[in-house]
Amino acid sequence: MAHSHSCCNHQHPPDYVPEHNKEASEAYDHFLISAEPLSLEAACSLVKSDAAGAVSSFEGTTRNTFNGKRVLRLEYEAYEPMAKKEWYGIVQEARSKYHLLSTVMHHRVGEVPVGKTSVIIAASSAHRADAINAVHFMIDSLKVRLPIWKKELLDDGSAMWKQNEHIDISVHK
Amino acid sequence: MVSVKVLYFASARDAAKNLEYETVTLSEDTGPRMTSVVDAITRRHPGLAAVLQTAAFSHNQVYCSGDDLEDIQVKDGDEIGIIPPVSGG
Repeated sequence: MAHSHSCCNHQHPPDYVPEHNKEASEAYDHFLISAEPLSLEAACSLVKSDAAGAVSSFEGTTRNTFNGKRVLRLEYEAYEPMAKKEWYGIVQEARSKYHLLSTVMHHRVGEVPVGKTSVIIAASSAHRADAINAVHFMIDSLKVRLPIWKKELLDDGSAMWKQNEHIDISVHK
Repeated sequence: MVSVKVLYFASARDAAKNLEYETVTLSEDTGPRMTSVVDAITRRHPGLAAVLQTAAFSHNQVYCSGDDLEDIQVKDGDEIGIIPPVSGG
Protein backbone atom coordinates (compact mmCIF):
# COMPACT_ATOMS: atom_id res chain seq x y z
CA MET A 1 0.00 0.00 0.00
CA ALA A 2 1.40 3.38 -0.88
CA HIS A 3 0.45 6.99 -0.67
CA SER A 4 2.03 9.89 -2.48
CA HIS A 5 1.33 13.53 -2.93
CA SER A 6 2.87 16.70 -4.23
CA CYS A 7 2.11 20.27 -3.56
CA CYS A 8 3.22 23.63 -4.87
CA ASN A 9 3.72 27.08 -3.59
CA HIS A 10 4.90 30.16 -5.40
CA GLN A 11 7.03 32.44 -3.28
CA HIS A 12 9.66 33.23 -5.91
CA PRO A 13 9.70 35.32 -9.05
CA PRO A 14 8.93 33.23 -12.15
CA ASP A 15 12.49 33.51 -13.45
CA TYR A 16 14.06 32.15 -10.24
CA VAL A 17 15.90 28.87 -10.92
CA PRO A 18 18.26 27.43 -8.31
CA GLU A 19 21.49 25.97 -9.64
CA HIS A 20 21.42 22.25 -10.59
CA ASN A 21 23.30 20.68 -7.70
CA LYS A 22 24.51 17.19 -8.70
CA GLU A 23 26.43 16.45 -5.49
CA ALA A 24 24.73 14.31 -2.87
CA SER A 25 25.57 15.49 0.63
CA GLU A 26 24.53 14.61 4.15
CA ALA A 27 24.00 18.35 4.65
CA TYR A 28 20.80 18.35 2.56
CA ASP A 29 20.21 14.67 1.65
CA HIS A 30 18.91 13.16 4.86
CA PHE A 31 19.20 9.47 5.73
CA LEU A 32 17.86 7.69 8.79
CA ILE A 33 17.35 4.05 9.72
CA SER A 34 15.52 3.83 13.01
CA ALA A 35 13.45 1.53 15.18
CA GLU A 36 11.15 4.43 16.06
CA PRO A 37 7.83 5.19 14.31
CA LEU A 38 8.22 7.40 11.23
CA SER A 39 6.51 10.72 10.54
CA LEU A 40 5.76 11.95 7.03
CA GLU A 41 5.38 15.47 8.32
CA ALA A 42 8.75 15.39 10.09
CA ALA A 43 10.47 13.96 6.99
CA CYS A 44 8.92 16.53 4.62
CA SER A 45 9.83 19.40 6.93
CA LEU A 46 13.50 18.46 6.38
CA VAL A 47 13.29 19.09 2.61
CA LYS A 48 11.05 22.15 2.49
CA SER A 49 12.65 25.47 1.65
CA ASP A 50 11.71 28.82 0.19
CA ALA A 51 13.46 27.85 -3.06
CA ALA A 52 11.29 24.75 -3.43
CA GLY A 53 8.11 25.04 -5.46
CA ALA A 54 7.39 21.36 -4.89
CA VAL A 55 7.74 18.67 -2.27
CA SER A 56 6.87 15.14 -3.42
CA SER A 57 6.77 12.18 -1.08
CA PHE A 58 6.24 8.43 -0.96
CA GLU A 59 5.15 6.57 2.14
CA GLY A 60 5.26 2.78 2.23
CA THR A 61 3.02 1.03 4.77
CA THR A 62 2.67 -2.59 5.80
CA ARG A 63 -0.17 -4.60 4.24
CA ASN A 64 -2.51 -6.79 6.31
CA THR A 65 -2.80 -9.77 3.96
CA PHE A 66 -0.54 -12.05 1.92
CA ASN A 67 -2.16 -14.59 -0.44
CA GLY A 68 -5.34 -14.37 1.61
CA LYS A 69 -3.60 -15.00 4.94
CA ARG A 70 -3.65 -12.44 7.69
CA VAL A 71 -0.34 -10.72 8.41
CA LEU A 72 0.26 -10.05 12.10
CA ARG A 73 3.38 -7.93 11.78
CA LEU A 74 6.60 -7.43 9.87
CA GLU A 75 10.16 -7.42 11.10
CA TYR A 76 12.77 -5.40 9.24
CA GLU A 77 16.53 -5.54 9.46
CA ALA A 78 19.22 -3.56 7.68
CA TYR A 79 22.92 -3.74 6.95
CA GLU A 80 23.03 -0.16 8.01
CA PRO A 81 26.50 1.12 7.06
CA MET A 82 26.24 -0.44 3.60
CA ALA A 83 22.64 0.74 3.20
CA LYS A 84 23.85 4.26 3.90
CA LYS A 85 26.60 4.04 1.26
CA GLU A 86 24.20 2.54 -1.30
CA TRP A 87 21.59 5.16 -0.52
CA TYR A 88 23.96 8.05 -1.15
CA GLY A 89 24.87 6.35 -4.45
CA ILE A 90 21.18 6.33 -5.35
CA VAL A 91 20.80 9.98 -4.38
CA GLN A 92 23.83 10.85 -6.49
CA GLU A 93 22.20 9.12 -9.50
CA ALA A 94 18.90 10.87 -8.78
CA ARG A 95 20.66 14.22 -8.68
CA SER A 96 22.32 13.57 -12.05
CA LYS A 97 18.90 12.84 -13.60
CA TYR A 98 16.73 15.38 -11.81
CA HIS A 99 17.14 18.91 -10.57
CA LEU A 100 16.73 18.52 -6.80
CA LEU A 101 17.12 20.80 -3.84
CA SER A 102 16.90 18.38 -0.92
CA THR A 103 15.97 14.73 -0.27
CA VAL A 104 15.12 12.52 2.68
CA MET A 105 14.87 8.77 3.26
CA HIS A 106 13.68 7.32 6.56
CA HIS A 107 13.41 3.56 6.95
CA ARG A 108 12.08 1.76 10.00
CA VAL A 109 13.68 -1.44 11.31
CA GLY A 110 12.62 -3.92 13.96
CA GLU A 111 8.99 -4.76 14.44
CA VAL A 112 6.52 -2.78 12.31
CA PRO A 113 2.83 -3.45 13.02
CA VAL A 114 0.37 -3.79 10.14
CA GLY A 115 -0.79 -0.46 8.75
CA LYS A 116 2.26 1.44 9.98
CA THR A 117 4.84 3.24 7.89
CA SER A 118 8.00 1.33 7.01
CA VAL A 119 9.62 3.83 4.64
CA ILE A 120 9.37 7.49 3.67
CA ILE A 121 11.11 9.18 0.76
CA ALA A 122 10.64 12.85 -0.09
CA ALA A 123 12.34 15.32 -2.38
CA SER A 124 12.05 19.03 -3.01
CA SER A 125 12.64 20.85 -6.27
CA ALA A 126 11.92 24.18 -7.89
CA HIS A 127 9.44 22.56 -10.30
CA ARG A 128 7.25 19.56 -9.54
CA ALA A 129 8.33 17.10 -12.27
CA ASP A 130 11.83 16.73 -10.81
CA ALA A 131 10.64 15.96 -7.28
CA ILE A 132 7.89 13.56 -8.43
CA ASN A 133 10.13 11.63 -10.84
CA ALA A 134 13.05 11.54 -8.41
CA VAL A 135 10.93 10.04 -5.63
CA HIS A 136 9.70 7.31 -8.01
CA PHE A 137 13.28 6.58 -9.11
CA MET A 138 14.56 6.51 -5.53
CA ILE A 139 11.91 4.14 -4.14
CA ASP A 140 12.40 1.78 -7.11
CA SER A 141 16.18 1.88 -6.58
CA LEU A 142 15.78 1.30 -2.84
CA LYS A 143 13.68 -1.79 -3.49
CA VAL A 144 16.23 -3.18 -5.95
CA ARG A 145 19.46 -2.66 -4.05
CA LEU A 146 19.29 -1.35 -0.50
CA PRO A 147 20.43 -4.14 1.86
CA ILE A 148 17.26 -4.23 3.96
CA TRP A 149 15.03 -7.26 4.56
CA LYS A 150 11.58 -7.89 5.93
CA LYS A 151 10.11 -10.99 7.46
CA GLU A 152 6.36 -11.43 7.37
CA LEU A 153 4.72 -13.13 10.35
CA LEU A 154 1.31 -14.62 9.57
CA ASP A 155 -1.52 -15.54 11.93
CA ASP A 156 -1.15 -19.24 11.08
CA GLY A 157 2.19 -19.14 12.91
CA SER A 158 4.34 -19.15 9.80
CA ALA A 159 7.02 -16.58 8.99
CA MET A 160 8.92 -15.91 5.80
CA TRP A 161 11.60 -13.58 4.48
CA LYS A 162 10.15 -11.54 1.66
CA GLN A 163 11.76 -10.75 -1.67
CA ASN A 164 10.97 -7.63 -3.67
CA GLU A 165 9.42 -8.06 -7.11
CA HIS A 166 11.59 -7.49 -10.16
CA ILE A 167 11.79 -3.78 -10.98
CA ASP A 168 13.08 -2.35 -14.26
CA ILE A 169 15.10 0.69 -13.22
CA SER A 170 15.83 1.63 -16.83
CA VAL A 171 12.33 3.12 -17.19
CA HIS A 172 13.63 6.13 -15.26
CA LYS A 173 15.24 8.39 -17.84
CA MET B 1 46.80 -16.21 7.56
CA VAL B 2 43.97 -13.93 6.54
CA SER B 3 40.97 -13.37 8.80
CA VAL B 4 37.78 -11.75 7.52
CA LYS B 5 34.52 -10.81 9.21
CA VAL B 6 31.49 -12.43 7.58
CA LEU B 7 28.05 -10.91 8.20
CA TYR B 8 24.88 -12.97 7.76
CA PHE B 9 21.53 -11.35 7.06
CA ALA B 10 17.93 -12.57 6.89
CA SER B 11 17.70 -16.14 5.52
CA ALA B 12 21.51 -16.41 5.51
CA ARG B 13 21.56 -15.83 9.27
CA ASP B 14 18.83 -18.43 9.73
CA ALA B 15 21.03 -20.90 7.85
CA ALA B 16 24.17 -19.96 9.82
CA LYS B 17 23.00 -21.00 13.28
CA ASN B 18 21.50 -17.55 13.81
CA LEU B 19 24.91 -15.89 13.83
CA GLU B 20 24.94 -12.20 12.97
CA TYR B 21 28.60 -12.41 12.10
CA GLU B 22 31.69 -14.51 12.63
CA THR B 23 35.38 -14.38 11.91
CA VAL B 24 36.61 -16.72 9.23
CA THR B 25 40.30 -17.48 8.97
CA LEU B 26 41.50 -18.61 5.57
CA SER B 27 44.40 -20.98 5.28
CA GLU B 28 45.74 -19.82 1.92
CA ASP B 29 49.23 -18.43 2.13
CA THR B 30 48.87 -16.31 -0.96
CA GLY B 31 45.99 -14.13 -2.05
CA PRO B 32 42.75 -15.75 -0.88
CA ARG B 33 39.72 -14.80 -2.99
CA MET B 34 36.05 -14.27 -2.27
CA THR B 35 35.48 -17.83 -3.46
CA SER B 36 37.68 -19.07 -0.58
CA VAL B 37 35.37 -17.29 1.85
CA VAL B 38 32.28 -18.82 0.23
CA ASP B 39 33.83 -22.30 0.39
CA ALA B 40 34.82 -21.85 4.06
CA ILE B 41 31.38 -20.69 5.24
CA THR B 42 29.61 -23.41 3.25
CA ARG B 43 31.76 -26.01 5.01
CA ARG B 44 30.87 -24.50 8.38
CA HIS B 45 27.18 -24.14 7.59
CA PRO B 46 26.05 -26.65 4.95
CA GLY B 47 22.53 -25.18 5.10
CA LEU B 48 23.92 -21.99 3.54
CA ALA B 49 24.46 -23.64 0.16
CA ALA B 50 20.83 -23.18 -0.89
CA VAL B 51 20.77 -19.56 0.32
CA LEU B 52 23.99 -18.72 -1.52
CA GLN B 53 22.47 -19.74 -4.85
CA THR B 54 20.35 -16.58 -4.84
CA ALA B 55 22.40 -14.36 -2.52
CA ALA B 56 24.58 -11.43 -3.47
CA PHE B 57 27.86 -10.65 -1.71
CA SER B 58 29.38 -7.45 -0.46
CA HIS B 59 33.06 -6.77 0.00
CA ASN B 60 33.79 -3.95 2.44
CA GLN B 61 30.20 -2.73 2.09
CA VAL B 62 30.19 -2.66 -1.72
CA TYR B 63 28.27 -5.18 -3.86
CA CYS B 64 30.33 -7.67 -5.83
CA SER B 65 28.71 -9.43 -8.75
CA GLY B 66 28.42 -13.20 -8.47
CA ASP B 67 30.42 -13.86 -11.63
CA ASP B 68 33.79 -12.52 -10.60
CA LEU B 69 34.17 -13.77 -7.00
CA GLU B 70 37.28 -15.62 -8.13
CA ASP B 71 38.86 -12.30 -9.12
CA ILE B 72 38.22 -10.50 -5.86
CA GLN B 73 41.13 -10.76 -3.48
CA VAL B 74 40.40 -10.50 0.24
CA LYS B 75 42.72 -9.04 2.84
CA ASP B 76 43.03 -9.38 6.58
CA GLY B 77 40.24 -7.47 8.32
CA ASP B 78 37.92 -7.27 5.30
CA GLU B 79 34.16 -7.29 5.86
CA ILE B 80 32.12 -9.70 3.73
CA GLY B 81 28.30 -9.51 3.70
CA ILE B 82 26.00 -12.36 2.67
CA ILE B 83 23.05 -10.58 1.10
CA PRO B 84 19.95 -12.66 0.28
CA PRO B 85 17.42 -11.05 -2.10
CA VAL B 86 16.47 -7.74 -0.54
CA SER B 87 12.98 -6.70 0.53
CA GLY B 88 13.30 -3.16 1.81
CA GLY B 89 10.57 -0.58 1.46
